[in-house]
Amino acid sequence: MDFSLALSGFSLLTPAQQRAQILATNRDAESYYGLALTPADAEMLMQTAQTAIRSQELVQFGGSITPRLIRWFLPSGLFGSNYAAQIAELTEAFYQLKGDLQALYDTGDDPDCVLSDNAILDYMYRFYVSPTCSGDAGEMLAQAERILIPAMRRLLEVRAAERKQHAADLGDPEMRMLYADKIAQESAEDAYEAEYDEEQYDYAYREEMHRDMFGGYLRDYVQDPAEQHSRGTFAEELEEALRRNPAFLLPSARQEAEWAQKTEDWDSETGEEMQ
Amino acid sequence: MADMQIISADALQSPLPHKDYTMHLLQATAANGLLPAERLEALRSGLQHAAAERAAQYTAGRSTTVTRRQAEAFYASVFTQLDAVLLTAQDDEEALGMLRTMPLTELLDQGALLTVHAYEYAKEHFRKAYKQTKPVQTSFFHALLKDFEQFCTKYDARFRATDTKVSYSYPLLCGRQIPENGAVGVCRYYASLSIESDFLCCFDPADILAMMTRYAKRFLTSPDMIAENIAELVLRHFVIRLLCDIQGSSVSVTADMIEAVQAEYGSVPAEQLCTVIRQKLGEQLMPVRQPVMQYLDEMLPEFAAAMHGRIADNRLEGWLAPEKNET
Repeated sequence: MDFSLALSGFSLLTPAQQRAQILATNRDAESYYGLALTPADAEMLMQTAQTAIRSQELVQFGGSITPRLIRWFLPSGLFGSNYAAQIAELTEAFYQLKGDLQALYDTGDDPDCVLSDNAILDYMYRFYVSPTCSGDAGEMLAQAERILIPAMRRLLEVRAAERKQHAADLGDPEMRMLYADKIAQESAEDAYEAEYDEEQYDYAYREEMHRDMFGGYLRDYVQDPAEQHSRGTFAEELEEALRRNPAFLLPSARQEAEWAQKTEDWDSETGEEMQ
Repeated sequence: MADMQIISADALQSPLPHKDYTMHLLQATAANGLLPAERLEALRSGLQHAAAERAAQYTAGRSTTVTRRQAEAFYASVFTQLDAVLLTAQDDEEALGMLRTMPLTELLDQGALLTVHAYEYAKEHFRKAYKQTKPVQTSFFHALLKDFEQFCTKYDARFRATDTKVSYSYPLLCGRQIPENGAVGVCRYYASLSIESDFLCCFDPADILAMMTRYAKRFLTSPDMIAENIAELVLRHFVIRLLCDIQGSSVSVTADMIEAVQAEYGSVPAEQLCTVIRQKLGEQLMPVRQPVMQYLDEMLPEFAAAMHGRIADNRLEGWLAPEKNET
């Protein structure tokens, strides 16, 4: 009997459960957008996800990203007759981005500085619906890689430099190393301070990064030059915001919590659908 | 059941290595049919499930994937956690009995608790060893501090249990090896350093430093660049004095003492030399330093064999740093 890790069998969901989750999205897709996936489409999407995961040397333990990606991107209104193929392209793009980011995480050694799946989906969606991409998954991936990957690299460097400076400020290096764990415990933030800092960051993050998606980028829609907004495209604005403060690459805890609640609601709808 | 017990007694006659103990135990069990197939299959799927749960905890809902390396680290962490509890068994038979009768979740919970204890004790042992050896530390011992800092701040028993950040770069007395994984292994290493520091505390630091200076001079280096275990150097010199029936807690030896030992023990077998050393050391250390004596006792056969080899080759003098004889 082989006790080595069977990476193919690592998932907490069976293939049948994953297929059912994908097909459960048809309820909303059909009723609101007139779109539907067949069982063959679901199988193709699962295989696409598995191939993409393997090519990025990842291991899936939870459910596939595909059902969540479908629900996230349906409101774009950019899916047409090749709905399944578009979802497959987006799934491949998602795992490509994850793989690119993972390469940075491996060298950065900063486990708190990671983009969640929801954050990646949010960035992808905002690129996808921006007029410069208009539903072109390849263009979306190119823009995301051009902007997000260097921003993450910069953020990891900034955080590493801050940690190094913080360590240097702590005085006698020998005593610092001998009692590193006790110093870390004492340096841990007070709960109230942490909550205040979180609120401040959430406010600043939403102001900078999550303004009204279409209200801010009127240049691409407005025909009359006199009414042209002074702001650039989404990609330009994002790049500029991240250049000013790379920390904004990471969504605030409140934003993550909102997305988590949204995906939890989707999962419970899916659970009911599968019953 | 009686047949299975007879089979298990024969199949596990030679003790399993402590490194990756659980994996070895499971493989030996599967190879020799020591557990029912259903129990083995339940253990296998339970282990995979524990690793998947660990992945879910690691990502905290932020992701549904981890890297291959992370997945392997989680799986190895589950096994390291089981090592901690199964190694508390008296022997492989008892460990097999634990696998047979205890639920996997209970084994993992106990392993987690033991790992936490090992982690905390490890830190205490190192701090004590570091402070006690300060007067006679070499740069190689000092370099352990960096690993210790990493162990204190970055070690993660849940997700990367085998990556302790501690490289065991400073050798232990008589080349003692630490085969155990994870925090348990680090605790044993630091506990060994702590006991060795207790042994060094039996002697005047100035005396030890003088010996280190003489020893370093022989090899054209400085005392802090001695790569060997200082407790072992001290033990060599102390044993020479004991074999010459010289009392006192000094580590100074002379060429005359070395010659006397060479002459008296030149034809004595290694086992007998070991017995003599054990008796003389016990008389000196047992009354006040029983844990130290117990520690040294484990290494004495190797130590005595090395000494015997030196005596047989007439190279005992090269093992030591004698003072110049006073004329």
